[in-house]
Amino acid sequence: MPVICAAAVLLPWVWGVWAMPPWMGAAAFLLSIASIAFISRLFARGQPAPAASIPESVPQAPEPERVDFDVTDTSPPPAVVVSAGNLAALQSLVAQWLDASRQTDDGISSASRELREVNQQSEAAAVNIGNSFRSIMDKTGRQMESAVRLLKSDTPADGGGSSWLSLPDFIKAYEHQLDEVTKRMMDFSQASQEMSKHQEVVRQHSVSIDEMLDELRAMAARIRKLALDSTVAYSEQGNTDSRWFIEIADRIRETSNTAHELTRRIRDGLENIRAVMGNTYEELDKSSGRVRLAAVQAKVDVSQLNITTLEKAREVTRTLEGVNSLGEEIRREINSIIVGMQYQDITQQRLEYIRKPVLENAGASIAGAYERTRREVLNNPELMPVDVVQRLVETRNKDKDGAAPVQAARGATQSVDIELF
Amino acid sequence: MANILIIDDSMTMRQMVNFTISAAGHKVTEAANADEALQSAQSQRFDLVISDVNMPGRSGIELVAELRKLPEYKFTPILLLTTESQPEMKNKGRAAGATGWIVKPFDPDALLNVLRKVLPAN
Repeated sequence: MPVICAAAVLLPWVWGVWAMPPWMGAAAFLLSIASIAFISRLFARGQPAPAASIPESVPQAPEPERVDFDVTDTSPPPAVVVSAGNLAALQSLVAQWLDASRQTDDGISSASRELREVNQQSEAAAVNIGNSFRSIMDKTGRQMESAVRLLKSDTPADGGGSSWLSLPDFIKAYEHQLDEVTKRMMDFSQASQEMSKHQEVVRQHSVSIDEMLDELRAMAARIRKLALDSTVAYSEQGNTDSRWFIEIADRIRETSNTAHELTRRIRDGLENIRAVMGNTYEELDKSSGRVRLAAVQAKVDVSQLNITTLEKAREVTRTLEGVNSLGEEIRREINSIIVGMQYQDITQQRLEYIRKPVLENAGASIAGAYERTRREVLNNPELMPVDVVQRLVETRNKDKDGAAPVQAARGATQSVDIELF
Repeated sequence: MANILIIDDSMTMRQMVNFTISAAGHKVTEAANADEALQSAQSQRFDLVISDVNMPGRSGIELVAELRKLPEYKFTPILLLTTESQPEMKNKGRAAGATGWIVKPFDPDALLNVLRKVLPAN
């Protein structure tokens, strides 16, 4: 009866164990062994305790008998004879599987904890890297905005109350003022040149007047000569010859007309000079007025521009300080990214720690227990039904061939295809 | 500007250390393992060596011991940059001749501070 129950428990395990992973096969085997022990205890109730010593030879297990169970039958089960040696061997195997499963359980728990921690750290690192990148982009954008605002708009970059000229407009305003002053200076220069021309005209007039004055001097000399001649002639001749007086009078009249003409020309010349000087003075006056006005206006505008320049310089200083401060924050974010990127290596090392001591050892422990069990069964075939033992023998031979295809498949999955469209 | 050798089997780590140290104006040479590092150390003179501990082949601690055998590296600062933080590992590193021990992940500013302390003033 116990043999039948044992077979009923073990056969499914043996049938399916070769298709499942070793750890699952081990767990199933443990369950089978526990079931067998429980059933054996049930059937061995009331029987004397088996001897502790293990006999030298273990008898062949009898063929299982077919037993029909009646579920309504409440009579005690028939007694089952279990050899002490087989039970001890089974107990030893169960103990080994219990150890192996405990080690596996411990290893898997430890590995789970490590993996959980590694996952959390990696996730945190990735999130930090993402946040840092977003922050860097935001701060870089703000730097650019500050710099562009300095050049573009007329609202202060630092958000102050009054508005100032932007840098290009500022430069244009300075240029405009300089243009105005330059234009006025050019006008003044032209007026000075006109004055030079007028001076030339005046000089020519002066030369004419000098000539005329020379002629007047000559005439005065002639008149003196005439007066002297007439006095001499009168005193020499002592008569009243009218022809001589008429001649003298004609000469005096001619000289008088000439003098009159000369004075008229002198007067005209002086009038011209006065007119020219008047025009020149007027032009100079106008030009200097314009220059003065332009200079005053430029002074006022430049003062205003200077105030604006100073304020603009302060604004630029504040903006550059802000840009610098953002740059420092960006540097700190980059440091944070560098720290986050190192978690790739840290994660790799910790996973390696989990793989080697935990998973490999756990696997080795199960594999060792499995091998020992198989060896025990092969050495003690009476522990198992005949077909189970037969399968174990077949599997032992297949193991050597079975490893190669798995390795080949593993190698095949490592290659990566890249296709560009 | 110092000539610095960095050794780590992880390309990411070498990249991060290189980025940090280069930004400070130093010249950096990389090696992926202890053998490459020894070849580089013998072909040119380095002012500072920074090495990982856990590497395939020879470990960083073994590399330190090998470098200390070379006359030109008897007094060169050698820093170990590693995930290990147990006192016994640190003692092994110190016994092998390491100048300092930095636990990953390192802060770039902290690493540069250490460099300023261990590198000669010139």
